[in-house]
Amino acid sequence: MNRRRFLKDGVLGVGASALAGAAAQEAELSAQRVTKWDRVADVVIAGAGASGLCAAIMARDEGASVLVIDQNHDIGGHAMVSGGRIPLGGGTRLQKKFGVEDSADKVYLDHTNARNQELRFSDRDLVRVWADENAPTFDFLLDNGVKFDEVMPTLVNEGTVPRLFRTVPYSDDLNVTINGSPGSGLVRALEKSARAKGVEILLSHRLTRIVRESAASGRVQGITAEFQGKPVAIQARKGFIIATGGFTSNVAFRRMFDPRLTEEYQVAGEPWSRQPAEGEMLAMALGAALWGTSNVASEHGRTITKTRHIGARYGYENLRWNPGSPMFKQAGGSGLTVRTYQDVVCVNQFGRRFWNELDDTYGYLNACVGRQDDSETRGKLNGGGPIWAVFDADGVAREKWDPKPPNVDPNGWFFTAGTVAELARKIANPYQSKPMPPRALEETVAKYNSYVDAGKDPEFGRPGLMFKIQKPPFYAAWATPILHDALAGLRTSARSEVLDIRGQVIPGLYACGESAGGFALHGLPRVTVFGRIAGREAARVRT
Amino acid sequence: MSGPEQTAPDLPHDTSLAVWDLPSPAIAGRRATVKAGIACSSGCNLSGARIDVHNETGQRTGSGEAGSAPWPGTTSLYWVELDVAAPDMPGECAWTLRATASGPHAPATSMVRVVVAAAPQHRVTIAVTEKGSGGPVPGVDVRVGMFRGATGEAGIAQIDVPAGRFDVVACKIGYETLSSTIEVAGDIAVHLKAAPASEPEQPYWM
Repeated sequence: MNRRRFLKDGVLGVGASALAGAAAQEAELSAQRVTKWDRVADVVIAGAGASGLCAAIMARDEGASVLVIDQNHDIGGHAMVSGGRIPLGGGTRLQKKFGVEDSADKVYLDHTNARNQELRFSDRDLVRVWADENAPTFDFLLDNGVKFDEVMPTLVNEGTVPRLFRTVPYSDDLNVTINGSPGSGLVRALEKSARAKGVEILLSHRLTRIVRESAASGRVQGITAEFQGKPVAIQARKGFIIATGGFTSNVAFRRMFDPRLTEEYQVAGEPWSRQPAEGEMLAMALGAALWGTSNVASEHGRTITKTRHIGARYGYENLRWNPGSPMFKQAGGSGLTVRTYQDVVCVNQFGRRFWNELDDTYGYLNACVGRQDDSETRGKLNGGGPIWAVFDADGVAREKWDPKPPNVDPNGWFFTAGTVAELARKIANPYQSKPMPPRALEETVAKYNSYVDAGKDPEFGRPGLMFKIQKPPFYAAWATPILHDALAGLRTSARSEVLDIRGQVIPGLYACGESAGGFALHGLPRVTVFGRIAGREAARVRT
Repeated sequence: MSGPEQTAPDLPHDTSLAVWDLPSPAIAGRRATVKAGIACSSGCNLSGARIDVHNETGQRTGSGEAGSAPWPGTTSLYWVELDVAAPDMPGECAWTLRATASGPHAPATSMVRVVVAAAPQHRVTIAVTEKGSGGPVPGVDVRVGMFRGATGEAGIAQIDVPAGRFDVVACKIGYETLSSTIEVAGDIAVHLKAAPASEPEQPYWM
């Protein structure tokens, strides 16, 4: 074959393949094309959490018909079990009531300070509009029935003006509030207002597809969802809003940002709310871009957190599961709240200490998720594996713990034994890949006790050594760091429109809440503001 | 250390030892008490098991038999309080505890390191008050070098030590840990002011 012939055939070959591929793709799209909509609304929202509910009410206020789906059996998302902290400023009605002077400009300047290690990677286009919408959003919450603890607001987030108000729990009924958290006062009030205004909410509906005119162009027309195993097609005449709550529960997705975050890391808010990234992934299939991805590994904020409640699966510091919660069976245990890590040593799955347990910085967290291996056994290549807090009867007495269910979960997350060697033998957990070597744990405890005698920890520099671990029974409690904030997500415009990887708007597609990226602000102030913006902008689309 | 890790029915059951309430420090030339318990990985009743203590030269310095009731909070840790002779000279020593039980049980051994100090001659009186209010702080764990004590209702701990230079550490949940260094040449009084530790930024809800 001569060169000319080769090139001709080659080019033709590639072209033919490409044409065949495009045809196949078009045929597949045609097969997937929705020919009959089961439901229709002007604005359709996936996610009935804090952001989705704000979007729903705002869109309804703008005159749109609104339909919200949520995969959970109830509304609220992560916000239901949150602390209800909503530091919005700019001159809210409650700020004025307490004589606090503030402005949108002050809010903007406070959240764009280059010295702020948590926020400085944020997209300032987003921060600017967020600042401008602070006060209107807070007053919107008041207008929609959200009750706040009316005490003088406090400073947070390195701000210069007191802005922090906290919602109050919605009721004393755990079947309503799920765990008695103040966040219930936000989402239950918003739910009540939304329903009263005519928002329709479909629970137990899982988002399965975003329907667009074609894969790479055209408007988003609606979605498909799954309800009790059956597909439901929902047309969105004006827009579809992703408010699905982030990606933290999705191991493959979160590892795009930090490969260390393997399967052993549990997620705050679970088992009540999961954040499986379904909104992000479906949008990315349409070409959507991610934004602010460095925020996940900035080592500031609450991406990874030190466990505060040990001996149960979910030990996020500000969420301790109540035995009376309807979710308690799934949570498994409340955990023993650690007043001081002085009363424990933390060991890896090989029974070895690895860091100063009193360290509350990312230094400790990095050590936990870092390489953990053993002289005899090759460790996990990614992730640090389980971390166990080991302590004795004297530690229990000092902490005033009652190390029994429901405070602890003996089904893989808490163990007790008469000797240290027996304790190691008992540890069995889905993430403990190999049995903990009893001798290694014995050596670790003996070495630590010798450091207490000497008053110095030459290995890890733990200060103020006071207490040996020697009096039986001995305990091992799950103390593996737990994940919280997503801090990255879909790229959006200042109008909450989703942008593709070329920076172009995907018409009819919006994102807010934890699913939207670019602004590393923790929690409710971000998700409420952008929920409201997304709802308003989607409703204002002219069709 | 634990026994061989074998679990087949025709092999010895693993046993292991716990050793606690070790004197810290032991006083040179005096006798000391220590508790030791033996547990079987299969949960067998090991009451009557013999536990011996040997010093670094192999000399038996204490011995006893595990009692009939397991240690509180455990299901099968059979224990005994042993009376052990401490070395005559200050320093650090190693005690080896060896437990032997009847039946299919492998012996268990454990080596513990014990610090031996000269007999105390002086009294250190430590008063802990709360920074700000000035009120006494009871229940503070205090160590003066190796020697330990705790403050009573009046916020005072009395700890006897030999002459020398010591690090003092005082610790109580809810307060910042205190530390200082003292020189002891006679009876001495130390006043520590404990600052309440800052509470977490957020409480938790349940």
